[in-house]
Amino acid sequence: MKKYLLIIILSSAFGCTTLEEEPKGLLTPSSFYENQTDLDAGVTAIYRPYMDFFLNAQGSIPTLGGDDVTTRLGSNKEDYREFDRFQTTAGNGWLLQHGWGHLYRTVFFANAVISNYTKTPEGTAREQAAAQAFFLRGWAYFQLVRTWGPVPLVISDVTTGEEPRSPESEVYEQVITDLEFAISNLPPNWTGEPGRPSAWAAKLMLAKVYLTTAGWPLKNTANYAKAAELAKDVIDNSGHSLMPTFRDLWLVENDNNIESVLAVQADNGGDWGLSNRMPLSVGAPDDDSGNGWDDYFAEIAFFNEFPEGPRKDDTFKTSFAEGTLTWEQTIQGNPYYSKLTGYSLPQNWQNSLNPYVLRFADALLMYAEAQNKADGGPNAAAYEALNEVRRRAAGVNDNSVDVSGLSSDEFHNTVIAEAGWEFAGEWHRWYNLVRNEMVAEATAKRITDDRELPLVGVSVGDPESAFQKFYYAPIPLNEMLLRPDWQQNPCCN
Amino acid sequence: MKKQFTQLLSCLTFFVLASSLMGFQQVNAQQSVSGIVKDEAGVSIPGANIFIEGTTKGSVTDFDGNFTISALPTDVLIISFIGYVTQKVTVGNQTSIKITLAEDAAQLSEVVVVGYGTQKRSDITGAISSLSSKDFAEQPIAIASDALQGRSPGVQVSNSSGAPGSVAVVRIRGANSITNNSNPLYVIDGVLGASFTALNPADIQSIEILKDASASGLYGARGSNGVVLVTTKRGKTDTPIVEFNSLLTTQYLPNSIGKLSAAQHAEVVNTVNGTTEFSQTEIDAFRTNGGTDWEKEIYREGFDALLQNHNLSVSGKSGKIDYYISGNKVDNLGILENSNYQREAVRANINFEVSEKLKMGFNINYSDELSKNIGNTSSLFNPTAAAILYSPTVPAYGDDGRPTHTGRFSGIGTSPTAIAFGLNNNLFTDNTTFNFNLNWDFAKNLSYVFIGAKRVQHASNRTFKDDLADLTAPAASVGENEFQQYQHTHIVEYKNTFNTDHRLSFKGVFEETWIENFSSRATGNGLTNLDRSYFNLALADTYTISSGETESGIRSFLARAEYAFKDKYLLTSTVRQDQSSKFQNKFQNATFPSIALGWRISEEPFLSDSKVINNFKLRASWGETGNEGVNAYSSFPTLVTGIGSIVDGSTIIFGVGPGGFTNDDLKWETTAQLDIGFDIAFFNNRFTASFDYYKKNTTDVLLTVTPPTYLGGITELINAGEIENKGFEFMLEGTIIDNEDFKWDALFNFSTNEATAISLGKDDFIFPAGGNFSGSNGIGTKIEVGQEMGNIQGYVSDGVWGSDEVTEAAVFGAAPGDSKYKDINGDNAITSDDITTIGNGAPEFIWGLNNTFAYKNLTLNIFVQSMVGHDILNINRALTNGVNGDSSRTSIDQLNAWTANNQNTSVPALTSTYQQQPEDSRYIEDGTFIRFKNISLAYDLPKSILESTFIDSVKLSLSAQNLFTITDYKGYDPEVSAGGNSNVFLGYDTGVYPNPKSVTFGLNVKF
Repeated sequence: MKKYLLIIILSSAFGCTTLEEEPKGLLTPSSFYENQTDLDAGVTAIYRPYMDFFLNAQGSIPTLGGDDVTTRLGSNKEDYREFDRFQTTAGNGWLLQHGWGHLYRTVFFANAVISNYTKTPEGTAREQAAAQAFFLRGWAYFQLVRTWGPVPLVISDVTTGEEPRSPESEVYEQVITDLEFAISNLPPNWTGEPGRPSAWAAKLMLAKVYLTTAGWPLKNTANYAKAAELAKDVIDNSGHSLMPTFRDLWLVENDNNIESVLAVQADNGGDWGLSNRMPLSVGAPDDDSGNGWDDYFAEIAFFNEFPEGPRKDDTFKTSFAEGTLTWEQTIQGNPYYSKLTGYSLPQNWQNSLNPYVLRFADALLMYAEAQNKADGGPNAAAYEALNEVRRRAAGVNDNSVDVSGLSSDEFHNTVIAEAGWEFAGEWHRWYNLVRNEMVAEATAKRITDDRELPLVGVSVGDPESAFQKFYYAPIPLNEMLLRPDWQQNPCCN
Repeated sequence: MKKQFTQLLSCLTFFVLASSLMGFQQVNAQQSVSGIVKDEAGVSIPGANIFIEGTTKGSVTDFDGNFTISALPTDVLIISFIGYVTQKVTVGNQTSIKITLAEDAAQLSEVVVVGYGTQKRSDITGAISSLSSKDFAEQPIAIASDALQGRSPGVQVSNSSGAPGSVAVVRIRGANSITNNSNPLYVIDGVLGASFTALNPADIQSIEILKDASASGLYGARGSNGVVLVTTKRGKTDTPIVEFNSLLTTQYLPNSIGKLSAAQHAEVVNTVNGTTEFSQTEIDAFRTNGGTDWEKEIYREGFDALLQNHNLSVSGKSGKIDYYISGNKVDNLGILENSNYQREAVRANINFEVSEKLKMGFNINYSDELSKNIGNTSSLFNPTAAAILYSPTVPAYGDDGRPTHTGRFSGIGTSPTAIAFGLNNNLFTDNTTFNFNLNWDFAKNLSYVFIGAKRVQHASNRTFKDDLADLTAPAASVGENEFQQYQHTHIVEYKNTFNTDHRLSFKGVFEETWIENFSSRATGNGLTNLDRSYFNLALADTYTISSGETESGIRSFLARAEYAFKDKYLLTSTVRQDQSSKFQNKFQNATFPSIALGWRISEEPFLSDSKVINNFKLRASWGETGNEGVNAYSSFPTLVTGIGSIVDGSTIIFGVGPGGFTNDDLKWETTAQLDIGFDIAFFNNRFTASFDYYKKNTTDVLLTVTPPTYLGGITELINAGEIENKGFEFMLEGTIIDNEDFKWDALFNFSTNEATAISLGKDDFIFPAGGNFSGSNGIGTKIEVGQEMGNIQGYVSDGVWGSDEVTEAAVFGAAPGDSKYKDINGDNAITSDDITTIGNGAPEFIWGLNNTFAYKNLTLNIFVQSMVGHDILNINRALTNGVNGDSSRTSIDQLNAWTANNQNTSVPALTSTYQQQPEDSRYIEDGTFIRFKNISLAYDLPKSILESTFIDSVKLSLSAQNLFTITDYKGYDPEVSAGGNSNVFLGYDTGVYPNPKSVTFGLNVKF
């Protein structure tokens, strides 16, 4: 009897095929990237983490050590405070999520395109698609290496999880290779799609990379000339120029203006995650309208030193609660960055203002800095570049605010200070200070009474050497736990 | 997949046809007598033996007590069943014989549902715990999982959330898996993977819990987490019984977390910042008005948090039809404002006796559930956590009468009232199960059972987040999910007895289950009209949409043999082969063998006459079971779609990116389990006890790992390593006092489990995905080779630096009053290298004690349940003691902060700016608890009063649940866990909905 049963069971098993999965709604990678439409979709994905990085104030966290920004007591701002007070810790959650996380996700999506784009039939469209991926990966690694120093270098869609932290020189080499590919293959402009990087944007980005490698830590001073050359090319040939007034730069209706070399395309009508939330994050204190998040605002000493003029008026918000409170009278007691809000408060707490990645003023000041350093003194073009920025800041058309006859060092310091004001609150200042080893000098002016957060890891007046350990942000704890073979950065070792 | 099932259908037809043909031949060859065996109460006895005297011919009754045997009119049938007096009947000219067996008081008699059939308790060789509806009759239960808690050794049931309608986490002999599903398989009336929440506890007749590999091996690839078999009620009596049962429960917050008063908090904030954040006038005002008691704002109690549970059932038997029909209504308001759970359920179990050889049954169960705001455990964005963290200086309502949105010095952006009232997450679920079964004794000693089932579940998740919960982006969404599950099972069983001493049964099973799932979701972001909630998603700035489907199937073959020699030596052996669509071809098939031996020592001559020991059985089993608990398409490489970005300033375009690592080598987890145990009964079966030792080794553990974030922020599902679970279980049950008027029954169970990582593939340790609870640093749980599972990681606190330790503290950049951590690696710095194990979230042992005292018409039930030796990281205590800087320092511990004059404390100085850690051993607390789960007093109205009425019986009861909990834990509830159903994130409390205290009035009437 058992025999019969066995036969029946076996025969029914024999007669039937195996169960095979046939996902109806899922795309599979093996057949993807084989045509231009797929490839373009792959490129579109890379923009998301890049946009996420710029549309959240948290992207600024590693730059809080700069003297242009500080944050508040209490609330959920500990991750900002750590950097502002030079007391950084590896456990900083937002640093992992909004810095390291978004940047490496950009790399991850870019690698998928870079490793597979050759499956798509050849043509300009394909090369331009790949070039965007190279640009975005280059940008991400540049952001990573200047924030964390040696970082793992993943450049294809095959990974081991065993990658070491590559030295800065190797990471920069990759950044330069990526951006050079981008320069060769990107078009001079994208009609109707200004959010994509042009060849000019790639050139200006590379100029910034060269300028950075010329300073701390690589100090490859030969790169000043390369930076100057690229920046000059952008100044002379890109067709970009300064907006006539500083205020015009920050109006939503002027998004993608002539000064904008590359800007993240925020839009408030759609996905909330793609709107610009800076008004909420940095726009106003609690006691103005009760809505502000106070992520960061201006340091008082920096504000006091900021030269008067239309640029200052349009950079800061100094009067609150319908004019009933001065900035000193608010709970936080600091001025706020009104320019970053597009002056949209209190109506719009998020808006469509496009945050700048690169703007023409950047080309001017980079050129001024690089040319002076490369040639041991400023030439006329460098003076003109610097003075162009100064004139607009002061709202004058004549040479009444021009500088001239400076020594190379004086000129350098003037440019760095000018860049600090021009790009105040735009996450530039910290990196400028670090590569020029000027953090102590800038911090020395910080107010030490209870109007500002007291410093913890350093003291006002400490020499530059005391700040060096904070040049690099801590490698996030999550990574250190998974990679105990890595050496943590000096801040947190 | 459709095409294959058509093919399958043809295979099946062949299978069924072949079986019937064989049966047909058998019937032709034999002349048969059929009969039914019942007890004195008229209840059928399955598994009774029928022999022809003087021969080796015999038969066994089926589940419904029916038997068929070929016999001559002169033959004498001997009918025996353990626990009953053996009877002899001469066949004569009867072709249908009714036999009533008298109970033999001296013997235990029980038929146990073992999966794909039944077995006599005395024949069982596996480790099976049984519960009958009587065991939990005195406890008001709205969710069926609560019936399992504390009642069986080796079964750990934790109410990881106290939210109304939430299902407890059930672990049978620990968790085998690391990051994948470790829930037991629920089988309701033969239907695999049935919904346990949809089940009305009042419909349960019995529950069997299959624990060892011999028992759960029947379920092969789905058996490794243990199996819970539920049998629902059926009609038994000729006179219909109408039963009405109603429970009214008032619920209360179990305790209150001690917080600073508003004035105290304002002073603490001032000291912390060294500034006048709050003026003396403000502080004086707080002292007068007291500030905000956030617990009062978000919790409700008593009749405002009423739980109602009503049941009505009719059961009976009429000729060849028996029926059980019930209706159930649960309405639980919950102690948290704006949370609730409702269920309406109906069931009809109907069985027909088509002929003596052919029986059919039909069960339908329909339920409709609504859960509101019961999720959200691991995030601080929930009212429970927010009420702990929020400053009492913040008013609960603004001048406009709406809940305050945000407040100063509170740590999180949104206030408890804004979250509680602003967030509306409704889950509507309806679930219908059709179960058709057929039982055909198609030949002598041979029977065929068919189970065909379909379960349809429709879930609709409708959410609305208004401008209170989210100032900037009020949103609403509707998610629909259609789930269909099919099953057909064919069981052919052969049973016979040879030479009276050899009893043999052989079973072959063919079974297929498959699941089709379709989901869609639409979300409206930036709602333009908040009054319309989720009822008109078009009233939004933008929309996002998605849809998806999965299909998966398992095909199984099972062979099982049971053999008993002289009812003394028992052998059970099972082989099951499963094929799952979730794995790629080469890993699709898996075979799971098991074997078990039993020796009834009490049947040996030297014990058989014992007056003390009535039953003594030794059991040993070994076997393998599997876990395919991964999602469909897990081994399939996929891409992520719908990644939105903008390049033109306003148009969202959607991109496609890699979804993560693909792993087409994914395969089953396999658990090999050894079990050794014994069952014993003594003093006339007044006391019974059982003991089991088990050791389970799970290999190819399915593991979701988090690679470093620099690889793209993805997770990976792999098979890696080996987990060992071992422990022992003990159960003692008995009647301690048995007088005419007073009776005391008690049941005690105790069990241990220790889970260790034996290997982790190529790694020495892993950090499983998902451990980043908000408020924590995200260090999570580390699983390390050779270490216990559930190890909580963090820094070891060494108190606070004292005034006499200025130099020592300076080494670490600290000063007196700063938090002092152990420098584990001695490098004079506190870094991630100093993170170590600071606790373990798994209990060392669990126990339960159920006492029933009966005095005349009064019954007192005291049920105690306990978990011992687990640690809890009280994240809220960390967050309210300075981990957030100057935010949410609301803990009363802040009053005991270090000062030069108060150095004997573990609370750092208020002015300390030294970085504190949430994963800090000072916030590890002992979670041990002993809980009086249920205390109930029931009174049966004397029969004399009811005699003249149509009412049969009336029972009134008053009970209290969770009345006392003995524990040192400082949070709300040591039973809850932010990790919820997770196997590894044990012992994290981020502010989870606490289990309420409650008082219940119950009424039970039978007509």
